[in-house]
Amino acid sequence: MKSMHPRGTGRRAFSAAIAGLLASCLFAACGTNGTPASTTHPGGSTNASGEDPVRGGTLTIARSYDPQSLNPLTCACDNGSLQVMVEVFDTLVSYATPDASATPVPDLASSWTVSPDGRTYTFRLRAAMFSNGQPVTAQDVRYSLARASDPVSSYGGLYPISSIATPDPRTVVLKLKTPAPGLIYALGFPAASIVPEALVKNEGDAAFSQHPVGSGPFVMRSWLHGQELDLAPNPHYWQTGLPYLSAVRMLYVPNDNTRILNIRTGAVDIADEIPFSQVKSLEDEGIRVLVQPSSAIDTVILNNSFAPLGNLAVRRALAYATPVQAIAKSVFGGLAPVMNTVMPKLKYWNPAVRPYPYDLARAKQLLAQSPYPNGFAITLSIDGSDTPSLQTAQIIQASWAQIGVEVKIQEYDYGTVQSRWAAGQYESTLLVPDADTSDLPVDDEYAHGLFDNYAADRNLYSYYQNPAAQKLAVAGLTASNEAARRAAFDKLQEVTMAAAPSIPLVWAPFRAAVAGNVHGFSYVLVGWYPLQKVWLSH
Amino acid sequence: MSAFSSSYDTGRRSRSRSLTLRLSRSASAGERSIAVGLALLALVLLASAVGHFALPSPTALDLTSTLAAPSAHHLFGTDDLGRDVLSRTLAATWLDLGVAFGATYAGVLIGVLLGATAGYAGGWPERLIMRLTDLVIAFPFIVLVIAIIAVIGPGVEGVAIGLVAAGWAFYARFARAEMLSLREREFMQAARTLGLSHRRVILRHALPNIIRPSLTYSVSDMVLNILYIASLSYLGLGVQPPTPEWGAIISGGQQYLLSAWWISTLPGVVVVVVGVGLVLIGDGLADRFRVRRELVR
Amino acid sequence: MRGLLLRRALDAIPVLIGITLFSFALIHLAPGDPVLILLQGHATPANVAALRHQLGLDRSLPAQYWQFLRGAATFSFGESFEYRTAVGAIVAPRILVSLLLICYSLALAILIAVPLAFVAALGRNRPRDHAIRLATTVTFAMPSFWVGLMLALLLSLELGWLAPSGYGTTFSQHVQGLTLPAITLALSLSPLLIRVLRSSLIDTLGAEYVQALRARGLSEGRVLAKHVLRNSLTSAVTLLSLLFAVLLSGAVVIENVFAIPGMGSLLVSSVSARDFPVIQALTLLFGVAVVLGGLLADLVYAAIDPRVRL
Repeated sequence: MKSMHPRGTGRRAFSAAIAGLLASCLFAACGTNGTPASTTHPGGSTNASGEDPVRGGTLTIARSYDPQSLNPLTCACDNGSLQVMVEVFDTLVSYATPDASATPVPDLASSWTVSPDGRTYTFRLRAAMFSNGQPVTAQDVRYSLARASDPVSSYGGLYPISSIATPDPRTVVLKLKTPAPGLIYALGFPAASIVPEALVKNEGDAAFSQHPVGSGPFVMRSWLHGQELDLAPNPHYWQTGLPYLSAVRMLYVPNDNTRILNIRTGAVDIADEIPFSQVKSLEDEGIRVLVQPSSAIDTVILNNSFAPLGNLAVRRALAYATPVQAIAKSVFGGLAPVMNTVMPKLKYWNPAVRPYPYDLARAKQLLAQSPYPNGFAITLSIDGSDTPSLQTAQIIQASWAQIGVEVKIQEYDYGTVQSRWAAGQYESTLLVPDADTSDLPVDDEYAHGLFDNYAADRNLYSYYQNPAAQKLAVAGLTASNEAARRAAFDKLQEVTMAAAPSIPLVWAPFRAAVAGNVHGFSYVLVGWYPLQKVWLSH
Repeated sequence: MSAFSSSYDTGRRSRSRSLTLRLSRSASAGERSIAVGLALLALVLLASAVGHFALPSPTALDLTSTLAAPSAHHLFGTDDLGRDVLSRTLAATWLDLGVAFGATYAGVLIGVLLGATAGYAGGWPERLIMRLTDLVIAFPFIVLVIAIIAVIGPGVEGVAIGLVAAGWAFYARFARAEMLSLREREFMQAARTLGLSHRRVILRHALPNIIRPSLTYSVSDMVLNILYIASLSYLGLGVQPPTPEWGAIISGGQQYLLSAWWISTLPGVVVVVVGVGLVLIGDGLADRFRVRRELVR
Repeated sequence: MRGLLLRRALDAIPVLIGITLFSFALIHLAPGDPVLILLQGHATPANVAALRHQLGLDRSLPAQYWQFLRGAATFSFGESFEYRTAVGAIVAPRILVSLLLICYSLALAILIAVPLAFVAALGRNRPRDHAIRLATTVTFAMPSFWVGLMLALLLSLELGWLAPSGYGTTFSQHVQGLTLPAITLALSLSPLLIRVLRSSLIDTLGAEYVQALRARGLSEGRVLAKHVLRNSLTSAVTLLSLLFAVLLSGAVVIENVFAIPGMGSLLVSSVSARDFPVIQALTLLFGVAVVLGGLLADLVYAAIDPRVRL
């Protein structure tokens, strides 16, 4: 537990603290951190060009999430656990780049080929070992993917797979029911991590979730629940020379202000989830804050089975009556781009679609043409402990009131909001800004989940059905060439924006405060930060 | 005269003149305390009434002037949605004081009566009531509040009911503990031999003595309950937005503590002022109570 | 004495059953389905049914409660829904943390409260009495997250004496990590203790026997320490036992602000996720702690006041 005061006074015995307590300049910037002044790197990572990586050092990260279970096969896939799984396990491919071009990069698979009809994938495995010295074989891959693609597993991304074959210990052949260009990305998600079959069968899922063994760059050295998780380098990692770090400490610090204090005092090197309202004040103190695009969407989720919302004119009226620019500025500090589609901003984003301008007159006009010319009442359920939700809800309430739509805000605890949403017991709801994220850097997941999945979960509990949108989604999901895929997804975004099944707000970015001596640190689009190439200078 | 008799109300006349003087000085000090306390509360309530007319609306958003520092225009600055913080703080006065008062004293009433009965009766009734207090005290409050809110809907009523349901146990414990010492007192046994009913003994003779620690604690408890409502707002349970309520305002400003500090701090000052006022009233009453009892002939 | 302990042990059983049953009933009454929460965006009917079965939630409520009771008797509380591992492993480490925090805070609070209560009671209604009561009411009425953050700003950021948060792995790290939270808690607890103790002290000081003791020539210090304090402790002991019980689950905000892995934050997070096995285990623990605390308090009453018959 470091306590390095930036002015170098070190840590005195706290028993001497009783004497002479004079509070001075509590609110002024007297406590400036010793890191060199620098500005934000919007969209960039922390790579300093031309410097050679230094080996060794302990990276300390203060996180707002606590890992729960580290077994990819029983993945609840919460952010806390994902970040650790990414370091401990490997997948067949990975998304190593932070930009939205999202090219899959070989990981455990050294190469792969796709058959011309798009229905057979052949992966060649590299010579890699798990951290316990056992080699990674095709059997392990088959076991892992078979369990992950089981229809009853909670990770639905591998649904196109119909069979897995292992002709030899270094080759895995996947057969698909229909072509699925998105599958290669789904294979890079941590729920598709490769685990040692014998060990998992021996220990059982519960034990494995607390003592994971993978082939990734790090091993889990110790885990104190609710407190700290430590990583050490994997001696058998297949990328020789990596990782540069000799240890990683992930501290669970749930309070926003405390995380910020930790980075300001230099007790940690990185603090994640910096509140939107604090980014600027941290920068003003000379602390670098990374603001990077994410695959999250922040929308007002509408229950289309609630009578007024089933009507297209009503939904469009609400979209025109939502002051999205004002929300982006006041709630998100101007750091979040305004959405011009109802989907995440990923590889096939269509920049040509226009967002709804804020136009109360037009909204009233539309409402007048609908069965609800005088407005109606609607409830908006939110997680009361989340500040952006509270702020957004009140801004929307004030604005929709002007067209006669009376919003009653209902605050619940997180569990209740989630359950009510999943059970369809809501009229409209807001989720916390990074809850609604795509696990893949391509549009497949949301195209399928929002428009092609009614039978399974009412299109992500929205109760929205649109045959035209569904056709376009399926076309994109099964397209045999890139051009057709892009065309389908482009049109899908146009059509669904016009139909407004939800009210799009902003794409909330990731924000992390990073100390000046940390290099190579960056988020990837879908939410984690790979650590194998991160290094610390002195 | 037993060497161990205490200052409990035995109905006997006090003996020394200097004691009388000391007690009457104490009485006027008690009255002063009550007066100052009432003045502080009146100040806040008056400001609230004036503010209702003189200040901007507590729920009017103004997204062009969010997070404005305190100035002549906005004495407490504006919050993250541009609302005047002073106006919101004062508008919450009646709600917070009302809920805190109601929740606390309902608990006091139930608790002291049950506790006194328990301590007096002993045996089965005592065991039953004390084990019930164990249950109530051990029970995780947040589960109780979430369940109550599930039944009656979100809002501050659920929190208030929860506070009463959880709070009476404290007073029962206090009252019973005092009663344990008290029931051995000679005057109590004397009253029984005189043929007074149990009810009369408890209410008329025991209660005034055992209620003192409860009353003293109840005033702090009122302040605690206001703060409790605040920490429940922190978890997202309680008053529904945009209704102003001290706890919601203060915990809502938590994120801005290092930058727009006025959102949490200045309403906190108002809560402190109200807290001091309440405590002064409580202490003053306790002093007067004690004095009156001691002077009874 | 043995009879008392036996009676208490017997009484404890219905209390513990009562608490856990009540908690079981309430948490199931509340909306919020742990299966839906765990599955988040993947809650297809097939997944829901499978997970429900895996977690044992498709059995009847009485069957589920009965299984909990049976398991509790052998200290096995099942598997946490969130962590997918034994509940005991999740809950046990937190007990020590909370106990350390509470003892540290109460010790500091007593250290602050006893002298101040004496000074206030002895100088009743004089300026020092008013000053003490005013100062303590002010710290008492401030929200704990505010006080905590201000202390952290001062002692950690400005002066660099302590780390801003965290619990550490060695005992000395624990003590350092718990210092800021303990001071914060003590600042809000000691006003309560001071009020109650001061009130009792004033009652006792006015008693005739105290003057008698002085008249017999006992030194003031002896009178105060041995006789006055002892006879004024009843309400303070009651308060302390109540605070102990409340703080076990109630230090949530402090635990959150200072990243202390205590039972309060586990309770809140497991309620949030509707992690029934963990909630039940915690409720049982709180019940045991309260029963023990109440017994301890009663024993102290009997010790300090020989007239008390339990």
